[in-house]
Amino acid sequence: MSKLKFKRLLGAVAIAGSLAFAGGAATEVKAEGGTFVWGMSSEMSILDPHVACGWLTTNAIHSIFEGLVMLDLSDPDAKSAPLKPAIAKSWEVNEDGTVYTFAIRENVRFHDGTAVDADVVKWNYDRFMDSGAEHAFDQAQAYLGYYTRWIKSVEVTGPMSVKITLNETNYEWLQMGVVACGMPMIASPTAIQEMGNEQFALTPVGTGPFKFIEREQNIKLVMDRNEDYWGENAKIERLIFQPLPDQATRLNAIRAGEVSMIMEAPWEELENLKNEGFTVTINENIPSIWLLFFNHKNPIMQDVRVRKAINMAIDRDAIADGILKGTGRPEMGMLSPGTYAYKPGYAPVKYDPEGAKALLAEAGYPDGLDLDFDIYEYGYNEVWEKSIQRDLKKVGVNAKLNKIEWITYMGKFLKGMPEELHMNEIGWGWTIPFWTQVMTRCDYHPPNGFNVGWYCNPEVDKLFDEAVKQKDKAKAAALYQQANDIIIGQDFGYAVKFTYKNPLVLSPSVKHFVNPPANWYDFSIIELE
Amino acid sequence: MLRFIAGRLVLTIPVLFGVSVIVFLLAHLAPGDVTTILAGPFATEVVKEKLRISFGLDQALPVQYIKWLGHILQGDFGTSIANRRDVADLVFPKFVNTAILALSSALLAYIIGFFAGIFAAARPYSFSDRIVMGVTLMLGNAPPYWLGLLIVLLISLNWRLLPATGMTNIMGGGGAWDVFLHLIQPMLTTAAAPACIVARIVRASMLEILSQNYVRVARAKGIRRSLILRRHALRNALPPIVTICGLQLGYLLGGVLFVEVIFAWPGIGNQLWQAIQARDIPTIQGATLVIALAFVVVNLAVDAINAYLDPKIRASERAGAS
Amino acid sequence: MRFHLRILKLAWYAYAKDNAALGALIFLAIIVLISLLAPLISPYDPAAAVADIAAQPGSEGVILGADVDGRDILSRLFWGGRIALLVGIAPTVAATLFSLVLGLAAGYIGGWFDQIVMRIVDVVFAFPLVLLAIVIAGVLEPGVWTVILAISIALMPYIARLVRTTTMNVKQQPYVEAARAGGAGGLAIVLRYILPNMIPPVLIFATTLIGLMMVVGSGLSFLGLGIQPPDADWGIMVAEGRGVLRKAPHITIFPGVVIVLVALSFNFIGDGLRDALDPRRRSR
Repeated sequence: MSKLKFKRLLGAVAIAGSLAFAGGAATEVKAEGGTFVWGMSSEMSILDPHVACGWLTTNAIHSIFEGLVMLDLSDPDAKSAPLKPAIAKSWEVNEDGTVYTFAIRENVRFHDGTAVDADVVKWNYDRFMDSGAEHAFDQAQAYLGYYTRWIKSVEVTGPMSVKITLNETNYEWLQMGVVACGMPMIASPTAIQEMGNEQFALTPVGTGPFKFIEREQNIKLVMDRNEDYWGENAKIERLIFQPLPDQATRLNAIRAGEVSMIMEAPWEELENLKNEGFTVTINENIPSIWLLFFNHKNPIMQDVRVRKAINMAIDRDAIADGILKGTGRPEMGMLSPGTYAYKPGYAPVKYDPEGAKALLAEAGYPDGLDLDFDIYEYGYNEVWEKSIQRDLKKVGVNAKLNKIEWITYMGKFLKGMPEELHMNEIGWGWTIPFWTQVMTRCDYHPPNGFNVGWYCNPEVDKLFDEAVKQKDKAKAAALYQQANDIIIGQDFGYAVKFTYKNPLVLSPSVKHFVNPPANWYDFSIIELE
Repeated sequence: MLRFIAGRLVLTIPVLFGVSVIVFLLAHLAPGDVTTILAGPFATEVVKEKLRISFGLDQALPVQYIKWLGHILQGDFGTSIANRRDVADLVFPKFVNTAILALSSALLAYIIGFFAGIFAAARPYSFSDRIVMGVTLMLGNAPPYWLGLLIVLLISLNWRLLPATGMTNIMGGGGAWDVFLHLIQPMLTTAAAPACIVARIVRASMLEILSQNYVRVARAKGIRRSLILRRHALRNALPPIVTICGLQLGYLLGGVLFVEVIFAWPGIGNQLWQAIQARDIPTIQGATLVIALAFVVVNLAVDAINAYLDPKIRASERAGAS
Repeated sequence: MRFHLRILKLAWYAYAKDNAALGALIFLAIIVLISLLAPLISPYDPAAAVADIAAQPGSEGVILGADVDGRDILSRLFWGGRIALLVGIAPTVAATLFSLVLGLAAGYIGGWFDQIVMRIVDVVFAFPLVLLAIVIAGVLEPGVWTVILAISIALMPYIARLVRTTTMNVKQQPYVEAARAGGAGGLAIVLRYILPNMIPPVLIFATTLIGLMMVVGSGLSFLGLGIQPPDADWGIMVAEGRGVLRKAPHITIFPGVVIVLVALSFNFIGDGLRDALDPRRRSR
């Protein structure tokens, strides 16, 4: 190659390089408030609140959108997150709890400038519940079925007034709208009509404290402060969610000051990070528990002695302290923490391998037994399932772990356990005790719900039916606890393991971050130094 | 030369066809029913069936293939299942990022490999030759993901010299300098193994040529060593070196996958890895197809450069030997 | 037969003169031995927590320290050798045997059969090896057999091309033509003349590849697409340590060093074999 040609080649490479750099150049951010970056453990789903699922996605949805009511996430010590007005500035409930009248807030505008009124609210409810509506969205209707199945009608009773009538009394219904999967939030009809459902899910338009700016999937989601927010403006200028699926990369990123917050840091590193000046916050009231389902269609598992023995054989402390390094708390009840019905320290039996062995012998398995146990491959759950496997081994139970890739697992899980399977698992919970109903009611057997282990006790369902009719939370809580004492204390229908307090690592510059009794956070109250 | 390239292009067509078949079939190796996840927990069979139809999953395989190929040829790579957006929009910008990393790494590898090889060949079997070759051997066999971790441990975490993740400062950076700073560590990691292989082949080819008679004669005539190296040895040693360099580009396109994951480089490898974790088949297909296409183009270019440097190849091609 | 033995002896002398290759062979023999005897000689159960989490090397009882689950790193390295060697050797052997049959058939039969086989090989060749292995392993259920299958497929075209080219070359040699003229059958020619000529280059190539494939296989495990925890595998060990890279770098460094050394050994052996089996170089 002659010199001249080589030079020309170099020139071409340089030009191509500089072009590429110019294309990659981002806009400079100079506005007040700074940028908060959350290094997430995986990419989020689409951002249409009516068809979105998963708690990472929910965090973005809650920043961009609002429903009629929202959760007040500003108190870290609240045992149960209270409701606060949002699109509805106030609401009234009639005597028997079946008619809800919402007064829509004036001067609320979507990020695209569209004004919010009663018709807009109705339009949204039609989208996810009225199959006859022109803009009905069948997927949204499937996602929101748990919420809309209680609704008899939605009526516009004035330009700024909406009346929702329920089929029957349910004092938890309003809070169901702020749980997790498929959220009845108010989206801009103009935007949806202009873009269509598919595009809207990529470039969402809501009324929340942050507005969507851009999204490069698997790289970042950028949201900016909504300067025209009806309430108090967010303190930070820009909010970025950055998927960093590799744990070590996330750790490097926060250490190098490239992100403001990370989740799922290695438990072994938490102490070190604290010493290096990072804030480690844990969520004592996180509404989520990890549990095993027993298959009540399987002959072996139908024996309450076997179920009780397994409950006694699991060393929950070993997981919470030994494996999770204190970021877990042993649990035995089916009532999720972070709800008003939760009963701390509920434990009808103690860790007792000898007792478990005796119980199994009494049930006719003096030489032990073999059990099939489906678990999923998703993050770190295998670590504690292995621990449980060892615990069970000690009492003579050979648990065979069938590890299944997450999507396949979900598919199998939602169908309910086939007769030959003995156990499977999930980690989940809502901010309302109704979640326990979804997991245990007779009429929530698949495909109508998540009671995948086919547990059924009509006595329990009766208590539940009573509980949702209680206006007084204390009375409702008492009924739930009574039901729980039957589900676990009498039937041992499930083996609840522990709560994972989901530690977050914050960079020293982050102030006023609140880890509330919910599965997501309020980013509008954060400040950066 | 043009005829040579045209001939090669024609030969490439059936290969591309085969590539598309393999990429298409990948989708059907995968277990799991994506519609369950897409449609949500309470979805009815009707909704799922609708989704299945919208993704074309209800048709016979060959029909699906022909439709799929037709779309691909029009630049439509389908819709990402995890991200619900055009795979092309997802994959092409990231391919540019990968190209930046891969090409700069290749350039670095060639430069380091070239100079290390010549340095070693100029003083064969000396102490410094052994040191250089020893180091290149070690680095050449080091797994890229492991090497990357050590580099980031030293440079970013212990010395705090360079950013550890991404391609730009996500809190508001940008510009060529920012990209360059982010590029250094991934580039070093990616370049390590190819540089070592290039160094070894450069050294071997140079030694081979230096032992040829005409070089001995030149040296006997008293011509300076550096001049011999430059004038005779280098030029004649070039063709095998170019071939190896081309092969290294292919290796690089693979190794870069690991590096992108470790450094969160927003490239196609990282995208592919995330798509694999999400079982996002259309994105897996799109990313695989794009990398394979790039690889085919690289191979073509290497062939063309080789033919240009070595007339014998062109001649044999023309004679009809395939 | 005698003649072959003499060649082998000569080759062995040449090989043994090469210190690096000999050293590598001894080192590998030790690694193989350790891996085979892992159940007997491991100080601890590779899956059991026996020490403090991330215990430093030299801590009580654990010579190389413990990993993030408190498992003994030395024991895990011993056990991991079994998987690493399996993942390096099995796909290479499988791909070699398969390619040998395919390449010989294609090269010897020629014509349309050759065309079809080689076009298929070209197609697989059009994917970068690592990419193809990752994608195949990525869409299948993870596990050791998936890794072996994925790498075998990705590797196949490289060896098949070598075999086919060598077959074509040997086929045109005068002595082969003479044999054919003398009435020797196709199979006889392949077995008698072509296969023996094939062994040295394929052997050299395959040996060098084993090290590389080990690195690729451990990489798949590193990405979570290969061997699954808690099985001990060197790639997984590197992956598991990276969360505590700063606090306990030894967890990541030791398995990496072992991978480099073993891969290097296969390289040296390949080089040694080449020098030993190549008559031109043997004279040097």
